[in-house]
Amino acid sequence: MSHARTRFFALIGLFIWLFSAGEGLARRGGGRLRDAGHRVSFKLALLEAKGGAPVVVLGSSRGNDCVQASAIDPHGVSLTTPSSSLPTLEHVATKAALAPGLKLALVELSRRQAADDLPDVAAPAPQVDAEEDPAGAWLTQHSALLQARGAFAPENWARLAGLVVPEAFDGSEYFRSRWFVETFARVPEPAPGELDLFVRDTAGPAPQAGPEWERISSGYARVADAFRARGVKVVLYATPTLGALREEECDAASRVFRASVAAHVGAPLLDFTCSAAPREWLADTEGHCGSLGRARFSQKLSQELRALP
Amino acid sequence: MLFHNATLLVGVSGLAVVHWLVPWQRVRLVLLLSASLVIYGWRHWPSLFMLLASIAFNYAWGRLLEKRPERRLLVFGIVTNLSSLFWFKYAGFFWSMLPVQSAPPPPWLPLGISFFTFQVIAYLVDVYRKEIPAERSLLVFAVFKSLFAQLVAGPIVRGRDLLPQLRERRALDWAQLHSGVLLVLAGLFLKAGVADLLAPHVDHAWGQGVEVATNVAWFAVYGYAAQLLADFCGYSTMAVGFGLVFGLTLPANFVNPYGASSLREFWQRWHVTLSQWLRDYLYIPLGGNRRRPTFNLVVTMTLGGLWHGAGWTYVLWGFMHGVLLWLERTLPKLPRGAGVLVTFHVVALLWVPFRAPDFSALVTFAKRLVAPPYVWATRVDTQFVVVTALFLLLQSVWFRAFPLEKREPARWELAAAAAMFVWLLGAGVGRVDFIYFVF
Repeated sequence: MSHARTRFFALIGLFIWLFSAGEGLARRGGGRLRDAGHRVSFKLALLEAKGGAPVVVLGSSRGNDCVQASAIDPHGVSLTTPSSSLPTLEHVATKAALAPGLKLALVELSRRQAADDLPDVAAPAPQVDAEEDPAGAWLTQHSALLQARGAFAPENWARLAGLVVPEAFDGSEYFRSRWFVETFARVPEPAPGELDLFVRDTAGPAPQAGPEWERISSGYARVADAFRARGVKVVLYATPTLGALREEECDAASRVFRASVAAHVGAPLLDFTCSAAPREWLADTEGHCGSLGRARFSQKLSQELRALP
Repeated sequence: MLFHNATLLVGVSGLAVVHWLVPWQRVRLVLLLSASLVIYGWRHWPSLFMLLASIAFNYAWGRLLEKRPERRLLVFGIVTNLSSLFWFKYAGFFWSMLPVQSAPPPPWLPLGISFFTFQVIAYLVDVYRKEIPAERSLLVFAVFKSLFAQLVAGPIVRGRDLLPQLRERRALDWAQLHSGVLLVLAGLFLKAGVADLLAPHVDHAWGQGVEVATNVAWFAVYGYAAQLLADFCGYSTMAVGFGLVFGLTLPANFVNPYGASSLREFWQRWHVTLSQWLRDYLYIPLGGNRRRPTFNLVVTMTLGGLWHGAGWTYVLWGFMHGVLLWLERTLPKLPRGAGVLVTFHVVALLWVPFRAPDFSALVTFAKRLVAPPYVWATRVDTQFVVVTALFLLLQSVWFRAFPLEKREPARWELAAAAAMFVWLLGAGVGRVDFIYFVF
């Protein structure tokens, strides 16, 4: 066989081997691979891979970016998921409550987290237009590897690593790997009194009514009940905001609404929505923290949690 | 049908096996023609009639021009080809400038019409100039005109390069086959693994309008420079690869264009077959360097801009290239390193009008690049920044590893193929059309 022919068949053989090996891997551990392709299923798979955690943090992208679970507890896990909603939160809470050794669940209370979007908890199978690409559609339908291929997207590589070495991840590495400047950010220790810039809201509850109140209060109650049924303490938290979002979420009615939800649920509320956080602590005006804000808010949250009875 | 489509890849693999098993050249050509027509008509079968009509007309006209090499016959042939291009691609554009109220012509645009129109114009001119004989075999001519590897987005293959290859019965060359498969993978990687990954970030930046932060706008400039090269070079690499799989050598369209140290050199490295076409069939006939060279240069580049799309932003892009090419002739030559840096930035900034959907978006985006308020957004995707930077910085490495002309086997190519395969598994989930398909 000529040298060129050998090289050709080596190349074709490599493709066949890679596909077959990947297919075999996906058929044996396809569930895990598919989990890595979605933000919610990944977080739950990470919690499972870690064998449980004493503290879990639930929330939306605001909680994802503002709370470092490992700063609350060295073995804490962040189950926060961008674009979350109340139905998604309920799904995560139901699953997370079963985690062994769980003592505390921190649950975000915000307008974003209380949204009524449909639950979005697992990656859909990739769709290929059968008319445009019949072979691609057939292959996707019959190949476990192609169905789980989202796991191999570069943005999910950290998730694959998280499932292989779960002890190295607290569920929030996504934050650091996703935003370029955060990758290189270094955070100094807080100056004395710096954390006092966060001021907890003291608004009290008031009677509420209406379909929106019913939906949100009963949804949060179900989330809290899922944890309490397993003997897990629940604490609600709200992250700092800026600009238009702050104006929107800091009017008297919104502050009382959050306090009322917390009273209805029967859980303490660490509400920092209206706290005057320095501009440089937040990465944007949509309530997402940068590295500094994330570190400081997590430290403050930790301090407040220790002060709770 | 798209190149990055499993049906096409599976079909072409099967076709290649049958092609090399069949000993008769005529049957091989029939196979290639049939496959090319199916691939071309897959998305929009009425386009096939346009293609078949063009094949029939240009075959007959080439024969006629050979017998009667008269200027008026050549002009008629060129005008006929250009009029179909004008009707399908530019009628709406010019119609919109007329002060009439009635609806413009239908917007159906046969895929690749700009490419195959230029290809046959070159063929007719070459026959008229007696540089090549008119093709005797309708079958050979039909494959020359419709070969799927180059039909939709080039390279613009000349008759003198491809016709002799199609006439000749070739023996299977394993080295060519090996290079072909590797180049198809490399092209697929560029398209689905790099260009399609960058596209949403660039689109997002452009979609923000006046809200886009200054640093994000600049990232979008670099990102689009990377995206466009990866997209078009990806297609061309696949085209050359497909050609080699069938034993055909197609011309290289890209030779590390961002490594050029002047605009003149850039155009010798970017979309090479179009640059050569514009030089041979427009610039030189206009007078070339002999008479009004500045005027010829600006007109050629402006028309080259218009060739890319029916819009004033394309015209501006071509015009600016023409003016800067002229200006460059009058300026002293920079040292190579500085020349590469300056040329790249000029080219990347000139992609702004090329990318802009209209003049208003162009002005808005240009202002965000250079005018206050200077806003710095920290939320820039790591993936976008890293892939853009790596792709642009590793250009010379890439073009050394995967040259579109003669390629030598490399020791590390199996590792590179495995890495590209794994990357494509995850990166190729979404599927976006090739940018140059619309030209």
